[in-house]
Amino acid sequence: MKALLPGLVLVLCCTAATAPRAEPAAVFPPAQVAANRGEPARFVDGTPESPSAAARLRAIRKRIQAALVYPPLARSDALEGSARVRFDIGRDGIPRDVVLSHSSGRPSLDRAALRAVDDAAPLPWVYGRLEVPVRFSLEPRQ
Amino acid sequence: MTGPRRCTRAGARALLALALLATGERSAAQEPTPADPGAPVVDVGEVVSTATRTERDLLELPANVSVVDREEIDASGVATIPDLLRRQPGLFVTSTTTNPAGVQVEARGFNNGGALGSSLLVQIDGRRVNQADTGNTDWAQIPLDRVQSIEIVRGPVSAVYGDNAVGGVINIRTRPREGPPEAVLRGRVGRYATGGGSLTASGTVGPVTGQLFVGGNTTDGYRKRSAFDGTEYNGSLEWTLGDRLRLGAQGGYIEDRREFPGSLTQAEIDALGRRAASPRSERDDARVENGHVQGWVEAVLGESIQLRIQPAYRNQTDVATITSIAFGTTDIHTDKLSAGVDTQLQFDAPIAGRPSRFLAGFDFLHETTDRNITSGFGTSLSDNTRDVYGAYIQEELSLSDGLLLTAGVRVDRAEYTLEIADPGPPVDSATAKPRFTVWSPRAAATWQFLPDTSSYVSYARGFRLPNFDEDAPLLGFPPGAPPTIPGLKPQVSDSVEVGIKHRGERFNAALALYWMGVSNEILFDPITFSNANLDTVRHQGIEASAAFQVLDWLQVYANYTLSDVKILESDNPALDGARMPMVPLNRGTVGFHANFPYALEIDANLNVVGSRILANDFSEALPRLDPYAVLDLLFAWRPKLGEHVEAAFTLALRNATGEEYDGFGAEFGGTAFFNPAARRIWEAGITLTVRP
Repeated sequence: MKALLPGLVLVLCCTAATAPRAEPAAVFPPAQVAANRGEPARFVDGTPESPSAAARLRAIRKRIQAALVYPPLARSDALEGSARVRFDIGRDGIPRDVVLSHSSGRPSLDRAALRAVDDAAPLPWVYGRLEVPVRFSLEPRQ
Repeated sequence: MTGPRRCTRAGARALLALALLATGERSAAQEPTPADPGAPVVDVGEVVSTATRTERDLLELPANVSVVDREEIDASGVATIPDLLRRQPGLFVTSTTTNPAGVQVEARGFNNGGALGSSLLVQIDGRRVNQADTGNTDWAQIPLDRVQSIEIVRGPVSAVYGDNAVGGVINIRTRPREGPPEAVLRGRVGRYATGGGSLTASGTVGPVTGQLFVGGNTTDGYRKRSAFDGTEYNGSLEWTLGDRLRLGAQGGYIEDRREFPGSLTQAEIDALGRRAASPRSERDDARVENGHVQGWVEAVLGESIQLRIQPAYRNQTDVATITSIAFGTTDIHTDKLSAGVDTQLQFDAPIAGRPSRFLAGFDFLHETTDRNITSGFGTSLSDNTRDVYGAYIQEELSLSDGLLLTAGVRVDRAEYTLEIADPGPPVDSATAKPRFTVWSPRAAATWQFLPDTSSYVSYARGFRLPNFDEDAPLLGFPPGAPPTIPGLKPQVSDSVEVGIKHRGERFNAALALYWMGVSNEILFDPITFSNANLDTVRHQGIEASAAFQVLDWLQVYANYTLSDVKILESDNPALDGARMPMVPLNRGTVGFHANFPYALEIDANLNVVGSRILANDFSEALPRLDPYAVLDLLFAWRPKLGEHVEAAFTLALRNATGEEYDGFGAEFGGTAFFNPAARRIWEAGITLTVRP
């Protein structure tokens, strides 16, 4: 019954009129979020205590940004472009099923975009399919 | 409104997960349930990687530089690289054949009276293609279909490139950049039995980028006995290991057969017509075979060091029959070999907090030419070798935002072994081992005083070494005389240049003014009938160009070149004060490119060239070659045939008005000889580009 309790709370949360409407489409079962941290879920006023989905998405973006590297050879070749990468996040925070949904037209930039998502682990767990646009841009020398 | 629905779906999945937990399905519960493939995808928000551009912007370069990319090449509708270059400011093209061979391109007033030697360095993917025997580039061996882009650097750049970079450098890129696979099929047919085609397949799969090219051209030429048939096979493979190391190799084989129609006197033109072959050139032709391979290693070490190593090898055989007034019909067999390696280290790191780039390089080139000449005067042999070592350093320091200083120096050491022999009888031979050391300094400042506008002032030295045919002449030596080696010195130029450039969204313009003093300019002296160094020659000129995107569908452009070349001092008093032959004082281009609905395009180009002194006619005893204006038109339809196929159907009219002019002319023995250029030519083409 202990294990079922958070799930029931979630169902109530999602069907209640007071559900967090501002959350993006990918929503995470908070019980699993807590489990992912290896901590028991804590409840405040009947709702799980956890960062909002928006905050988690911000954290994910920040980690991918930190892991993103402009490929040195592509930079010396003055290659620019934008790619889009889709992925899930495992409960261990490891990105899974990382695929290119839109190519930049430059394979080395595509590889760097995929690698940035892989290297950003561990990521806060979010349920659902995510997509991150990755842009490589060169600015003039000073 | 979609939020709650998604929430409900997620909740249902959570419930399912809990149900699985309750039934002991631990493995399923430990792994998150994959997202529903049909579920909405959530955008995390864009991440951006921004880096400082490592390649120099054109506005930063202290020289008059322009780049013609593949799109512009296609838009121009030209068939050969020289046809593209003749439209560029600062360059001048001469042709003796009306086929792709026999073409010479020079910059900033170097033409040597159209004789041997070139002061324009040409590189394909960094591989030097000027030939050791003549110094010239064989433009017939560089099919335009394979070209990705052409960079034109005007003025001396020997401080980096070494030999031949006196009037400028043409850097041709054929290596494909990484990208999705594509195939380009080109075909064309035109007047005078002209036809050709090529297939280029290129693309990146995983870490490997490759290209295969097969192409061929054939023409009877405008003049009689000016046929050309050529075929090229080329392939390249490049392997990227990680993000920092790239290994590549490229190889090719070219073979062609070319005819030379020779030159005509005015009497012959009147009697036989301007399309006739010279009665003295009934057998003039050549068969050329060229195999080459080159490699490259490019590595990025740390954040700021780039290393490039480029080995290259070329082997060429020419079997030619040439008729000359002095030597009669001559059979020439030439084997040429060229092997070398270029290395360059680029170090980008600030100095005193200011951005800086330091370049250091070492180049080595070994060239040999073995030649067997048989004429009515007997047989002569030559066996020539030279090793050229070059080392350079260059510093580019950004003193403040927009102000860039460049300084560098290169030293080249050339060691020749020249052997020429007349097996006789009587047996005569000459051997020489000249050694040359040339220092090439450079200093420049570029000031980008507006975001789209910069100016520069530059001092640079350029040099070229005597080529084998000058120092061990092609036709041996004057009939009846013992073989001699002239003992030529390298030609050295010191140039000062100022320029201003603007590159805006709709308007580009450039203006360059240069003054160049040339010591020991190498020239065929028709009076002493030998190759000689002229003491001092002054080259000065103006290059102006502008392109304006008047409307979204209409671009107009124009350029003007003034080339004022005068021999100031020479051991031969007859040459003192003479103007350089075959260099037009004025030339220019004007044109437009218009895009119409339904993917229709029109391109028009008018190339105007002023009068030219006949080659060898330093005393200007004979009339000059007339000025000419050649109008080229291109009509194109470039439809998209579905998602994966683009097509281009073109009709080019070259010399559309049928202007009669001469591609070259020379004085010999008081008589003028002309090489008439082609009149009106049409050519229809089709290009299919397939991207799977």
